[in-house]
Amino acid sequence: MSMNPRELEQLENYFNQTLAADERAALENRMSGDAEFRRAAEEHFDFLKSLQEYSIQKQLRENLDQIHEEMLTSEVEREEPSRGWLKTLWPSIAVAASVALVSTLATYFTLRYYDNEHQTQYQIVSRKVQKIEKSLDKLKNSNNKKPEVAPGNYSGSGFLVSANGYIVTSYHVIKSADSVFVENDKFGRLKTTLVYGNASSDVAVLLINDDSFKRPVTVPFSVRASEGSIGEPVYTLGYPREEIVYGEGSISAASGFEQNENAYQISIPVNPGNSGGPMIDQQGAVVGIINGVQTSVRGTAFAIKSEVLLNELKNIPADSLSKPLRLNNQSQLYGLSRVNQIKKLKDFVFIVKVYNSK
Amino acid sequence: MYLDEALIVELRKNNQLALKQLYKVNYPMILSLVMNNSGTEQEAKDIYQEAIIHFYEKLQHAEFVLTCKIKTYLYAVGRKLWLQKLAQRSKFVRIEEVEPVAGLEDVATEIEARESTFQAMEGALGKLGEPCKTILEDFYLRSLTMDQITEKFGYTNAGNAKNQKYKCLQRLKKIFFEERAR
Repeated sequence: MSMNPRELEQLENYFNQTLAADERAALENRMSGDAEFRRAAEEHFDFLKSLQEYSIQKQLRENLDQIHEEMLTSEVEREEPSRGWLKTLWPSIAVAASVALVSTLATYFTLRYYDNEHQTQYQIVSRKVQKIEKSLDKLKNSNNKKPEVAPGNYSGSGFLVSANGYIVTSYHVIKSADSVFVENDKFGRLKTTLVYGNASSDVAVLLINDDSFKRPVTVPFSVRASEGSIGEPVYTLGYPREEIVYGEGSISAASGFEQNENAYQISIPVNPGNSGGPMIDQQGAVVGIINGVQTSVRGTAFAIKSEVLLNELKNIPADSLSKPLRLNNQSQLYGLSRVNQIKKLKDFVFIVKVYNSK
Repeated sequence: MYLDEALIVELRKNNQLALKQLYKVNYPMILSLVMNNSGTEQEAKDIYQEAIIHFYEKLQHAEFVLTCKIKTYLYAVGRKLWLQKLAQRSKFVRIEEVEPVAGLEDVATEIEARESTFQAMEGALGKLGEPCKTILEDFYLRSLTMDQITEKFGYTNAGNAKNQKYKCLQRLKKIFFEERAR
Protein backbone atom coordinates (compact mmCIF):
# COMPACT_ATOMS: atom_id res chain seq x y z
CA MET A 1 0.00 0.00 0.00
CA SER A 2 1.49 3.32 -0.96
CA MET A 3 1.14 6.29 1.30
CA ASN A 4 0.94 9.98 0.62
CA PRO A 5 3.39 12.51 2.05
CA ARG A 6 0.90 13.59 4.68
CA GLU A 7 0.57 10.04 6.01
CA LEU A 8 4.32 9.49 5.90
CA GLU A 9 4.90 12.66 7.86
CA GLN A 10 2.40 11.58 10.49
CA LEU A 11 4.01 8.17 10.81
CA GLU A 12 7.43 9.73 11.12
CA ASN A 13 6.27 12.08 13.84
CA TYR A 14 4.60 9.17 15.58
CA PHE A 15 7.87 7.23 15.37
CA ASN A 16 9.79 10.18 16.78
CA GLN A 17 7.12 10.67 19.46
CA THR A 18 6.45 14.23 18.35
CA LEU A 19 2.90 13.73 17.16
CA ALA A 20 0.23 15.80 18.91
CA ALA A 21 -2.00 13.81 21.28
CA ASP A 22 -5.21 14.05 19.22
CA GLU A 23 -3.49 13.06 15.97
CA ARG A 24 -1.76 10.20 17.75
CA ALA A 25 -5.08 8.89 19.02
CA ALA A 26 -6.56 9.12 15.52
CA LEU A 27 -3.62 7.28 14.02
CA GLU A 28 -3.72 4.50 16.60
CA ASN A 29 -7.39 4.21 16.00
CA ARG A 30 -6.85 3.78 12.29
CA MET A 31 -4.11 1.23 12.84
CA SER A 32 -6.28 -0.93 15.01
CA GLY A 33 -9.19 -0.77 12.58
CA ASP A 34 -7.38 -1.06 9.24
CA ALA A 35 -5.15 -4.17 9.08
CA GLU A 36 -3.57 -3.26 5.75
CA PHE A 37 -2.68 0.22 6.96
CA ARG A 38 -1.31 -1.24 10.18
CA ARG A 39 1.02 -3.58 8.30
CA ALA A 40 2.26 -0.79 6.06
CA ALA A 41 2.80 1.45 9.09
CA GLU A 42 4.76 -1.20 10.92
CA GLU A 43 6.90 -1.78 7.87
CA HIS A 44 7.56 1.94 7.73
CA PHE A 45 8.56 2.02 11.41
CA ASP A 46 10.93 -0.86 10.79
CA PHE A 47 12.47 1.09 7.93
CA LEU A 48 12.74 4.32 9.94
CA LYS A 49 14.41 2.43 12.76
CA SER A 50 16.95 0.96 10.33
CA LEU A 51 17.59 4.40 8.90
CA GLN A 52 18.04 5.89 12.35
CA GLU A 53 20.45 3.14 13.39
CA TYR A 54 22.28 3.53 10.13
CA SER A 55 22.74 7.21 10.77
CA ILE A 56 24.09 6.68 14.29
CA GLN A 57 26.43 3.92 13.19
CA LYS A 58 27.66 5.79 10.15
CA GLN A 59 28.76 8.69 12.31
CA LEU A 60 30.25 6.39 14.92
CA ARG A 61 32.20 4.48 12.29
CA GLU A 62 33.63 7.67 10.81
CA ASN A 63 34.56 8.78 14.29
CA LEU A 64 36.26 5.46 15.06
CA ASP A 65 38.21 5.51 11.78
CA GLN A 66 39.53 8.90 12.69
CA ILE A 67 40.50 7.79 16.19
CA HIS A 68 42.20 4.76 14.65
CA GLU A 69 44.31 6.88 12.36
CA GLU A 70 45.17 9.31 15.14
CA MET A 71 46.28 6.40 17.28
CA LEU A 72 48.83 5.12 14.78
CA THR A 73 50.08 8.28 13.11
CA SER A 74 50.77 11.90 13.78
CA GLU A 75 50.46 14.83 11.49
CA VAL A 76 53.72 16.32 10.24
CA GLU A 77 54.17 19.63 11.98
CA ARG A 78 54.46 22.52 9.59
CA GLU A 79 57.39 24.83 9.74
CA GLU A 80 56.20 27.71 7.62
CA PRO A 81 59.15 29.55 6.12
CA SER A 82 58.98 33.16 7.22
CA ARG A 83 58.07 35.35 4.30
CA GLY A 84 56.33 37.89 6.42
CA TRP A 85 56.75 41.02 4.34
CA LEU A 86 55.32 39.33 1.29
CA LYS A 87 52.40 38.03 3.24
CA THR A 88 51.45 41.40 4.59
CA LEU A 89 51.79 43.09 1.21
CA TRP A 90 50.27 40.60 -1.17
CA PRO A 91 47.37 38.27 -1.05
CA SER A 92 48.38 34.65 -0.71
CA ILE A 93 47.91 33.87 -4.40
CA ALA A 94 50.62 36.32 -5.32
CA VAL A 95 52.86 34.74 -2.70
CA ALA A 96 52.34 31.29 -4.13
CA ALA A 97 52.99 32.50 -7.66
CA SER A 98 56.23 34.26 -6.78
CA VAL A 99 57.52 31.30 -4.80
CA ALA A 100 56.75 29.07 -7.74
CA LEU A 101 58.67 31.36 -10.08
CA VAL A 102 61.73 31.52 -7.83
CA SER A 103 61.80 27.79 -7.36
CA THR A 104 61.47 27.17 -11.08
CA LEU A 105 64.55 29.27 -11.78
CA ALA A 106 66.49 27.63 -8.98
CA THR A 107 65.51 24.21 -10.26
CA TYR A 108 66.63 25.00 -13.75
CA PHE A 109 70.11 26.01 -12.70
CA THR A 110 70.62 23.21 -10.26
CA LEU A 111 69.62 20.71 -12.85
CA ARG A 112 71.80 22.23 -15.51
CA TYR A 113 74.64 22.05 -13.07
CA TYR A 114 74.08 18.37 -12.56
CA ASP A 115 73.53 17.72 -16.21
CA ASN A 116 76.65 19.41 -17.50
CA GLU A 117 79.31 18.77 -14.96
CA HIS A 118 78.49 15.51 -13.38
CA GLN A 119 76.98 13.46 -16.06
CA THR A 120 80.11 11.48 -16.57
CA GLN A 121 80.54 10.55 -12.96
CA TYR A 122 77.20 10.90 -11.25
CA GLN A 123 74.15 9.36 -12.75
CA ILE A 124 70.69 9.70 -11.39
CA VAL A 125 68.88 6.45 -11.72
CA SER A 126 65.52 7.11 -13.24
CA ARG A 127 64.89 4.80 -16.12
CA LYS A 128 64.38 5.85 -19.70
CA VAL A 129 61.74 3.57 -21.02
CA GLN A 130 61.86 4.16 -24.78
CA LYS A 131 64.63 1.68 -25.46
CA ILE A 132 62.81 -1.24 -24.01
CA GLU A 133 59.51 0.02 -25.34
CA LYS A 134 60.35 -0.96 -28.90
CA SER A 135 61.30 -4.49 -28.10
CA LEU A 136 58.24 -4.76 -25.89
CA ASP A 137 56.05 -3.62 -28.76
CA LYS A 138 57.48 -6.34 -30.93
CA LEU A 139 56.71 -8.90 -28.30
CA LYS A 140 53.21 -7.61 -27.82
CA ASN A 141 52.40 -7.52 -31.51
CA SER A 142 53.58 -11.05 -31.92
CA ASN A 143 51.19 -12.55 -29.43
CA ASN A 144 48.06 -10.47 -29.96
CA LYS A 145 47.49 -9.45 -26.37
CA LYS A 146 45.20 -6.58 -25.48
CA PRO A 147 46.92 -3.27 -26.06
CA GLU A 148 48.47 -2.04 -22.85
CA VAL A 149 48.82 1.52 -21.63
CA ALA A 150 51.92 3.31 -22.79
CA PRO A 151 54.80 2.67 -20.46
CA GLY A 152 55.67 6.34 -19.99
CA ASN A 153 58.82 8.26 -20.87
CA TYR A 154 60.65 7.72 -17.62
CA SER A 155 60.13 5.59 -14.62
CA GLY A 156 61.36 5.48 -11.08
CA SER A 157 60.13 4.19 -7.76
CA GLY A 158 58.15 5.72 -4.92
CA PHE A 159 56.51 4.73 -1.66
CA LEU A 160 53.31 5.56 0.18
CA VAL A 161 53.99 7.35 3.49
CA SER A 162 50.50 8.49 4.44
CA ALA A 163 47.48 6.22 4.05
CA ASN A 164 45.41 8.98 2.45
CA GLY A 165 47.65 8.96 -0.62
CA TYR A 166 50.94 10.81 -0.20
CA ILE A 167 53.82 9.20 -2.09
CA VAL A 168 57.49 10.10 -1.75
CA THR A 169 59.84 9.84 -4.71
CA SER A 170 62.93 11.56 -6.13
CA TYR A 171 62.53 14.98 -7.63
CA HIS A 172 64.62 14.11 -10.67
CA VAL A 173 62.22 11.29 -11.54
CA ILE A 174 59.26 13.62 -11.99
CA LYS A 175 60.99 16.92 -12.79
CA SER A 176 59.90 17.26 -16.41
CA ALA A 177 56.58 15.47 -16.12
CA ASP A 178 53.34 16.47 -17.76
CA SER A 179 51.61 13.73 -15.86
CA VAL A 180 52.68 11.16 -13.32
CA PHE A 181 51.09 7.79 -12.63
CA VAL A 182 52.00 5.29 -9.96
CA GLU A 183 51.32 1.61 -10.24
CA ASN A 184 51.74 -1.70 -8.46
CA ASP A 185 50.02 -5.06 -8.20
CA LYS A 186 48.00 -4.22 -5.13
CA PHE A 187 46.61 -0.81 -6.04
CA GLY A 188 46.71 -0.88 -9.82
CA ARG A 189 47.41 2.22 -11.83
CA LEU A 190 46.68 5.57 -10.22
CA LYS A 191 46.91 9.17 -11.31
CA THR A 192 48.81 11.55 -9.05
CA THR A 193 49.39 15.25 -8.72
CA LEU A 194 52.64 16.85 -7.69
CA VAL A 195 52.36 18.38 -4.24
CA TYR A 196 55.93 19.37 -3.61
CA GLY A 197 59.32 19.08 -5.22
CA ASN A 198 62.77 20.37 -4.36
CA ALA A 199 65.58 19.97 -6.85
CA SER A 200 68.39 20.67 -4.40
CA SER A 201 67.37 17.95 -1.95
CA ASP A 202 65.97 15.78 -4.76
CA VAL A 203 62.79 15.05 -2.79
CA ALA A 204 59.30 15.11 -4.30
CA VAL A 205 55.89 14.39 -2.85
CA LEU A 206 52.95 13.21 -4.95
CA LEU A 207 49.33 12.85 -3.95
CA ILE A 208 47.22 10.07 -5.43
CA ASN A 209 44.35 11.77 -7.14
CA ASP A 210 42.29 8.95 -8.54
CA ASP A 211 38.76 7.82 -7.77
CA SER A 212 39.76 4.18 -7.99
CA PHE A 213 42.24 4.56 -5.12
CA LYS A 214 40.97 2.51 -2.22
CA ARG A 215 42.95 3.89 0.67
CA PRO A 216 44.51 1.37 3.02
CA VAL A 217 43.86 1.55 6.76
CA THR A 218 47.50 2.12 7.51
CA VAL A 219 50.83 2.12 5.75
CA PRO A 220 53.74 0.08 7.11
CA PHE A 221 56.37 2.76 6.54
CA SER A 222 57.68 5.00 9.22
CA VAL A 223 60.39 7.56 8.54
CA ARG A 224 63.43 7.44 10.78
CA ALA A 225 64.43 10.72 12.40
CA SER A 226 67.89 9.66 13.58
CA GLU A 227 70.94 9.42 11.34
CA GLY A 228 72.02 6.02 10.08
CA SER A 229 75.40 4.61 11.07
CA ILE A 230 78.19 3.45 8.81
CA GLY A 231 78.05 -0.30 8.43
CA GLU A 232 74.33 -0.52 9.12
CA PRO A 233 72.62 -3.16 6.96
CA VAL A 234 69.95 -1.65 4.70
CA TYR A 235 67.85 -2.80 1.77
CA THR A 236 65.66 -1.37 -0.92
CA LEU A 237 62.61 -2.31 -2.96
CA GLY A 238 62.16 -0.67 -6.32
CA TYR A 239 61.29 -0.97 -9.97
CA PRO A 240 64.38 -1.18 -12.17
CA ARG A 241 62.15 -3.50 -14.20
CA GLU A 242 58.37 -3.71 -14.50
CA GLU A 243 58.58 -6.02 -11.53
CA ILE A 244 59.54 -5.15 -7.97
CA VAL A 245 63.19 -5.94 -7.20
CA TYR A 246 64.93 -6.34 -3.86
CA GLY A 247 68.49 -5.15 -3.25
CA GLU A 248 70.60 -5.18 -0.12
CA GLY A 249 73.80 -3.70 1.20
CA SER A 250 74.94 -1.32 3.90
CA ILE A 251 75.58 2.32 4.59
CA SER A 252 79.16 2.93 3.44
CA ALA A 253 79.65 6.59 4.26
CA ALA A 254 77.80 9.37 6.06
CA SER A 255 78.01 11.69 3.06
CA GLY A 256 77.18 11.34 -0.58
CA PHE A 257 78.74 12.34 -3.88
CA GLU A 258 81.31 15.12 -3.36
CA GLN A 259 80.70 15.28 0.38
CA ASN A 260 76.99 15.95 -0.03
CA GLU A 261 75.84 16.04 3.60
CA ASN A 262 72.26 15.27 2.61
CA ALA A 263 73.08 11.81 1.33
CA TYR A 264 74.65 8.50 2.28
CA GLN A 265 76.98 6.47 0.17
CA ILE A 266 75.58 2.97 0.07
CA SER A 267 76.63 -0.42 -1.24
CA ILE A 268 73.29 -1.51 -2.63
CA PRO A 269 73.35 -2.49 -6.31
CA VAL A 270 71.24 0.23 -7.88
CA ASN A 271 69.95 0.40 -11.43
CA PRO A 272 68.03 2.94 -13.44
CA GLY A 273 64.47 2.82 -12.11
CA ASN A 274 65.52 2.44 -8.49
CA SER A 275 65.47 6.21 -7.98
CA GLY A 276 62.89 7.29 -5.43
CA GLY A 277 62.65 3.87 -3.82
CA PRO A 278 62.81 3.53 -0.04
CA MET A 279 66.02 2.50 1.70
CA ILE A 280 64.99 0.53 4.74
CA ASP A 281 66.81 -0.29 7.97
CA GLN A 282 66.65 -3.48 10.02
CA GLN A 283 63.65 -2.29 12.03
CA GLY A 284 61.71 -1.67 8.84
CA ALA A 285 61.89 2.12 8.99
CA VAL A 286 62.78 4.28 6.00
CA VAL A 287 66.31 5.61 6.46
CA GLY A 288 66.82 7.01 2.97
CA ILE A 289 65.59 7.51 -0.60
CA ILE A 290 67.59 5.88 -3.40
CA ASN A 291 69.02 8.65 -5.50
CA GLY A 292 71.94 7.95 -7.86
CA VAL A 293 75.10 6.03 -8.70
CA GLN A 294 78.66 7.07 -9.29
CA THR A 295 79.57 5.82 -12.73
CA SER A 296 83.32 6.07 -12.28
CA VAL A 297 83.41 3.80 -9.24
CA ARG A 298 81.65 0.47 -9.55
CA GLY A 299 79.04 -0.43 -6.96
CA THR A 300 78.83 3.00 -5.43
CA ALA A 301 75.35 4.38 -4.99
CA PHE A 302 73.74 7.15 -3.00
CA ALA A 303 70.61 7.70 -0.98
CA ILE A 304 69.09 10.90 0.40
CA LYS A 305 68.90 10.80 4.20
CA SER A 306 65.52 10.32 5.86
CA GLU A 307 66.18 13.36 8.07
CA VAL A 308 66.25 15.45 4.90
CA LEU A 309 62.94 13.92 3.86
CA LEU A 310 61.39 14.75 7.24
CA ASN A 311 62.59 18.33 6.96
CA GLU A 312 61.19 18.65 3.48
CA LEU A 313 57.83 17.28 4.65
CA LYS A 314 57.76 19.96 7.33
CA ASN A 315 58.53 22.60 4.74
CA ILE A 316 55.64 21.82 2.43
CA PRO A 317 53.46 24.92 2.48
CA ALA A 318 50.23 24.12 4.32
CA ASP A 319 48.13 25.33 1.40
CA SER A 320 49.69 22.67 -0.86
CA LEU A 321 48.28 19.92 1.31
CA SER A 322 44.65 19.22 0.57
CA LYS A 323 44.65 16.47 3.21
CA PRO A 324 46.72 16.15 6.38
CA LEU A 325 50.00 14.36 5.83
CA ARG A 326 50.23 11.82 8.63
CA LEU A 327 53.24 9.63 9.35
CA ASN A 328 53.39 6.50 11.48
CA ASN A 329 54.51 7.05 15.03
CA GLN A 330 56.57 3.90 15.02
CA SER A 331 57.61 1.20 12.64
CA GLN A 332 54.96 -1.48 12.44
CA LEU A 333 57.58 -3.94 11.26
CA TYR A 334 59.75 -4.02 14.34
CA GLY A 335 60.85 -7.52 15.22
CA LEU A 336 59.74 -9.06 11.92
CA SER A 337 62.18 -11.04 9.81
CA ARG A 338 63.27 -9.31 6.64
CA VAL A 339 61.20 -11.65 4.49
CA ASN A 340 58.09 -10.76 6.46
CA GLN A 341 58.94 -7.07 6.40
CA ILE A 342 59.16 -7.22 2.61
CA LYS A 343 55.83 -9.04 2.37
CA LYS A 344 54.20 -6.12 4.15
CA LEU A 345 56.17 -3.37 2.45
CA LYS A 346 55.99 -4.40 -1.18
CA ASP A 347 52.36 -3.40 -1.63
CA PHE A 348 53.27 0.15 -0.69
CA VAL A 349 56.16 0.59 -3.13
CA PHE A 350 55.14 1.85 -6.55
CA ILE A 351 56.59 2.23 -9.99
CA VAL A 352 56.41 5.94 -10.80
CA LYS A 353 55.65 6.49 -14.47
CA VAL A 354 56.33 9.84 -15.98
CA TYR A 355 54.81 11.15 -19.19
CA ASN A 356 55.93 14.22 -21.05
CA SER A 357 55.46 15.51 -24.54
CA LYS A 358 59.15 16.32 -25.11
CA MET B 1 42.47 8.31 32.39
CA TYR B 2 39.00 7.28 33.45
CA LEU B 3 38.53 4.11 35.47
CA ASP B 4 35.88 1.69 34.23
CA GLU B 5 32.88 3.12 36.11
CA ALA B 6 33.69 6.71 35.24
CA LEU B 7 34.41 5.73 31.64
CA ILE B 8 30.96 4.18 31.32
CA VAL B 9 29.31 7.27 32.73
CA GLU B 10 31.21 9.45 30.24
CA LEU B 11 30.52 7.15 27.28
CA ARG B 12 26.83 7.34 28.07
CA LYS B 13 27.15 11.11 27.77
CA ASN B 14 28.81 10.72 24.34
CA ASN B 15 32.09 12.12 25.63
CA GLN B 16 34.54 12.03 22.72
CA LEU B 17 37.61 11.83 24.97
CA ALA B 18 36.18 8.81 26.73
CA LEU B 19 35.54 7.11 23.38
CA LYS B 20 39.11 7.81 22.32
CA GLN B 21 40.46 6.35 25.53
CA LEU B 22 38.24 3.27 25.26
CA TYR B 23 39.40 2.74 21.68
CA LYS B 24 43.11 3.27 22.16
CA VAL B 25 43.49 1.29 25.36
CA ASN B 26 41.84 -1.87 24.11
CA TYR B 27 42.93 -2.06 20.47
CA PRO B 28 46.28 -3.85 20.99
CA MET B 29 44.47 -6.70 22.72
CA ILE B 30 42.16 -7.39 19.76
CA LEU B 31 44.94 -6.76 17.26
CA SER B 32 47.03 -9.53 18.76
CA LEU B 33 43.99 -11.79 19.18
CA VAL B 34 43.25 -11.60 15.45
CA MET B 35 46.82 -11.43 14.14
CA ASN B 36 47.85 -14.45 16.22
CA ASN B 37 44.96 -16.44 14.81
CA SER B 38 45.49 -16.15 11.07
CA GLY B 39 43.94 -12.72 10.63
CA THR B 40 45.21 -9.48 9.12
CA GLU B 41 45.46 -6.01 10.56
CA GLN B 42 42.48 -4.91 8.46
CA GLU B 43 40.40 -7.76 9.86
CA ALA B 44 41.49 -6.89 13.39
CA LYS B 45 40.37 -3.33 12.86
CA ASP B 46 36.98 -4.43 11.45
CA ILE B 47 36.35 -6.89 14.28
CA TYR B 48 37.41 -4.38 16.87
CA GLN B 49 35.18 -1.63 15.53
CA GLU B 50 32.19 -3.98 15.46
CA ALA B 51 32.86 -4.85 19.09
CA ILE B 52 33.19 -1.20 20.05
CA ILE B 53 29.98 -0.24 18.22
CA HIS B 54 28.19 -3.12 19.91
CA PHE B 55 29.42 -2.06 23.35
CA TYR B 56 28.62 1.57 22.68
CA GLU B 57 25.08 0.75 21.63
CA LYS B 58 24.55 -1.46 24.66
CA LEU B 59 25.58 1.44 26.85
CA GLN B 60 22.88 3.63 25.34
CA HIS B 61 20.32 1.37 26.97
CA ALA B 62 19.91 2.41 30.58
CA GLU B 63 19.13 -1.14 31.67
CA PHE B 64 22.46 -2.53 30.43
CA VAL B 65 24.69 -3.50 33.35
CA LEU B 66 28.28 -4.52 32.84
CA THR B 67 29.13 -7.43 35.10
CA CYS B 68 32.84 -7.56 34.31
CA LYS B 69 35.67 -5.27 33.30
CA ILE B 70 35.32 -3.41 29.99
CA LYS B 71 38.49 -5.10 28.74
CA THR B 72 37.10 -8.56 29.54
CA TYR B 73 33.83 -7.72 27.80
CA LEU B 74 35.47 -6.42 24.62
CA TYR B 75 37.81 -9.40 24.50
CA ALA B 76 34.91 -11.82 24.86
CA VAL B 77 32.93 -10.08 22.08
CA GLY B 78 35.99 -9.83 19.79
CA ARG B 79 36.80 -13.48 20.35
CA LYS B 80 33.25 -14.62 19.52
CA LEU B 81 33.18 -12.48 16.40
CA TRP B 82 36.53 -13.69 15.18
CA LEU B 83 35.70 -17.34 15.83
CA GLN B 84 32.52 -16.89 13.82
CA LYS B 85 34.40 -15.27 10.92
CA LEU B 86 36.90 -18.12 10.93
CA ALA B 87 34.14 -20.72 11.08
CA GLN B 88 32.55 -19.16 7.98
CA ARG B 89 35.83 -19.86 6.21
CA SER B 90 35.71 -23.42 7.52
CA LYS B 91 38.64 -22.66 9.73
CA PHE B 92 38.31 -23.92 13.23
CA VAL B 93 40.82 -22.82 15.79
CA ARG B 94 40.96 -22.75 19.52
CA ILE B 95 41.26 -19.31 21.01
CA GLU B 96 41.59 -19.28 24.73
CA GLU B 97 38.67 -17.84 26.63
CA VAL B 98 40.31 -15.75 29.30
CA GLU B 99 37.22 -15.21 31.42
CA PRO B 100 33.72 -16.27 30.43
CA VAL B 101 31.17 -13.44 30.18
CA ALA B 102 27.48 -14.19 30.64
CA GLY B 103 24.85 -13.13 28.13
CA LEU B 104 27.05 -13.26 25.04
CA GLU B 105 25.73 -16.52 23.59
CA ASP B 106 24.22 -14.90 20.50
CA VAL B 107 26.36 -11.82 20.31
CA ALA B 108 28.10 -12.72 17.03
CA THR B 109 24.79 -13.39 15.26
CA GLU B 110 23.32 -10.21 16.70
CA ILE B 111 26.25 -8.14 15.44
CA GLU B 112 26.14 -9.75 12.02
CA ALA B 113 22.45 -8.95 11.70
CA ARG B 114 23.11 -5.35 12.59
CA GLU B 115 25.99 -5.23 10.13
CA SER B 116 23.90 -6.60 7.29
CA THR B 117 21.11 -4.08 7.94
CA PHE B 118 23.74 -1.37 7.87
CA GLN B 119 25.09 -2.64 4.58
CA ALA B 120 21.61 -2.93 3.08
CA MET B 121 20.97 0.72 3.92
CA GLU B 122 24.34 1.78 2.58
CA GLY B 123 23.75 -0.21 -0.60
CA ALA B 124 20.25 1.25 -1.00
CA LEU B 125 21.51 4.81 -0.59
CA GLY B 126 24.21 4.07 -3.15
CA LYS B 127 21.62 2.93 -5.69
CA LEU B 128 19.21 5.75 -4.98
CA GLY B 129 20.76 8.39 -7.22
CA GLU B 130 20.78 12.16 -6.92
CA PRO B 131 19.34 14.43 -5.66
CA CYS B 132 17.50 11.91 -3.45
CA LYS B 133 20.64 10.52 -1.82
CA THR B 134 21.93 13.92 -0.73
CA ILE B 135 18.51 15.18 0.37
CA LEU B 136 17.95 12.17 2.60
CA GLU B 137 21.50 12.19 3.96
CA ASP B 138 21.24 15.89 4.68
CA PHE B 139 18.04 15.36 6.60
CA TYR B 140 18.57 12.04 8.36
CA LEU B 141 22.35 11.96 8.81
CA ARG B 142 23.44 15.54 8.92
CA SER B 143 20.28 16.82 10.62
CA LEU B 144 19.74 19.75 8.27
CA THR B 145 16.31 21.36 8.62
CA MET B 146 13.78 21.29 5.78
CA ASP B 147 14.30 25.05 5.36
CA GLN B 148 18.03 24.56 4.84
CA ILE B 149 17.37 21.79 2.36
CA THR B 150 14.82 23.93 0.50
CA GLU B 151 17.41 26.63 0.08
CA LYS B 152 20.32 24.32 -0.73
CA PHE B 153 18.47 22.55 -3.54
CA GLY B 154 16.66 25.64 -4.78
CA TYR B 155 13.08 24.48 -4.21
CA THR B 156 10.53 27.25 -4.49
CA ASN B 157 9.02 26.48 -1.12
CA ALA B 158 9.43 24.13 1.82
CA GLY B 159 6.31 22.21 0.84
CA ASN B 160 7.86 21.16 -2.48
CA ALA B 161 11.05 20.09 -0.75
CA LYS B 162 9.08 18.08 1.74
CA ASN B 163 7.11 16.30 -0.97
CA GLN B 164 10.35 15.51 -2.77
CA LYS B 165 11.86 14.19 0.45
CA TYR B 166 8.95 11.81 1.02
CA LYS B 167 9.11 10.61 -2.58
CA CYS B 168 12.79 9.88 -2.06
CA LEU B 169 12.07 8.16 1.23
CA GLN B 170 9.52 5.85 -0.40
CA ARG B 171 12.06 4.93 -3.07
CA LEU B 172 14.78 4.30 -0.50
CA LYS B 173 12.42 2.11 1.50
CA LYS B 174 11.66 -0.02 -1.52
CA ILE B 175 15.33 -0.50 -2.44
CA PHE B 176 16.28 -1.07 1.20
CA PHE B 177 13.85 -3.98 1.61
CA GLU B 178 15.04 -5.46 -1.67
CA GLU B 179 18.66 -5.17 -0.55
CA ARG B 180 17.95 -6.67 2.84
CA ALA B 181 16.09 -9.61 1.33
CA ARG B 182 19.06 -10.55 -0.82
